[in-house]
Amino acid sequence: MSADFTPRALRVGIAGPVGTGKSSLAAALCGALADELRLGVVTNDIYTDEDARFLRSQGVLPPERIVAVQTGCCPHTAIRDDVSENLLAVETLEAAEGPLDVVFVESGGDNLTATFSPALADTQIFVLDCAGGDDVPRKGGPGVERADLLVINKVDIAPLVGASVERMLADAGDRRGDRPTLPTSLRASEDVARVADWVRSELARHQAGDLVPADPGPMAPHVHAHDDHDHDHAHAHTH
Amino acid sequence: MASSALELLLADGRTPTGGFAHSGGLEAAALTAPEVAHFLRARLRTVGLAEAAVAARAAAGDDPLDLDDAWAARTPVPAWRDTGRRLGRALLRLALRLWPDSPLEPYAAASSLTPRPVVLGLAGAAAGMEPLAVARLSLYDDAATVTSAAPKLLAVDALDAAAWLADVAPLIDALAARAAAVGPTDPLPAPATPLLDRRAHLHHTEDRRLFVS
Repeated sequence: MSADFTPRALRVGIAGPVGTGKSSLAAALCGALADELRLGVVTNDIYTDEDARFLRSQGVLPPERIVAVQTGCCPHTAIRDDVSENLLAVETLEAAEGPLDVVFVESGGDNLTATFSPALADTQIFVLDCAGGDDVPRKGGPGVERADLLVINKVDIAPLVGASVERMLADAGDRRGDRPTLPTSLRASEDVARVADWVRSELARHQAGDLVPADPGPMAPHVHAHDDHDHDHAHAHTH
Repeated sequence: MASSALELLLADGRTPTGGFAHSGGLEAAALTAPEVAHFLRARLRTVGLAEAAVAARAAAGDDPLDLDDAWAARTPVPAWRDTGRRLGRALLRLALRLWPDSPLEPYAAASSLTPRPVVLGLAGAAAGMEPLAVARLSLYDDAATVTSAAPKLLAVDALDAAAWLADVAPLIDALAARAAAVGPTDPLPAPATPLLDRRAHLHHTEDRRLFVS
């Protein structure tokens, strides 16, 4: 590597079930970070380019910085088993618009087992929402348990749908050990700012060469591979 | 080098080379289920044969950059050239991992097009495959792309789709022999497929679609 080698952009995966706010989170993060960082977005829609058009309509990034990939009905495959299309999209975006600091790769809405391959995402956010049921953190799964950041979105409507944010955060904490969880309402700028701060810290680790993708992996026996502390979590999980 | 298992690896839809996101033009064609078998044969006889011949010549050792140009000249729709380039790049990613010190490496550095048939020919040669086997694989992949997409697009039993693929096996063998018989100084097949071309062009701008192509 030459001395003036520019590292490629940090790739931040955003996964989670349909309708939890992945596109809105991407838009909010772009809005919060676009003045200080060079950003791009790759969306993985199921059968439209709706998400890419939504993001372009938000006006937070130049339209050419937002690209959509088609996934042939297989959003899970496109971010996990065969990331060819997404990698190509990220590389093409960087070649055309780069250098970029961060590329957000938004998964198509999928189920609780869908997480990004470490070949695609350097770090990943799993997005849940209160409206989807406050028992979801307790159900767990690789994204809930081991994504680098868990976002519990739409806390502002929790009372309207009878969801307990406290219960969701407690269950998430129990599942996730030391990994961070942030409750958000994307209408609240301070909530967005906290997620943006997390992105900044991941970018700093990436640029320092300290960020090694921590794969949430498939459904698997409970492990705390990244914990520094002794935990007394002797869960007998059967997934 | 014995190549039979490597040939299967290159043919396997589970091998990560991006094929799952493509329908071989089936989505754009908007057919009824009984029409798919006819569509399959039409593709094989035209673009299937042309791409198989390019792949076979690449496997036989022709200059791959010349083949890039020959392929592009036979692929008039920009959207389709882009599809060929994307699928080629995905296959190249795999092939460079498997055969890093092969002719694939200088080709990857020099080619701006990386059409899938050329990459497949070089990968096949690196796997020890004869041009005939490479041509057969190219044709098989073209047909399997269509049949594997069919149950996602149409009311089709996946077993029927597999049967369509089996039904074209003799055609694939016959076309592979033709493709592999093209010599280094012979003209490559140049089919005219205006309907496929037009559909591919329109599909590219469609905002409600499941597949890249």
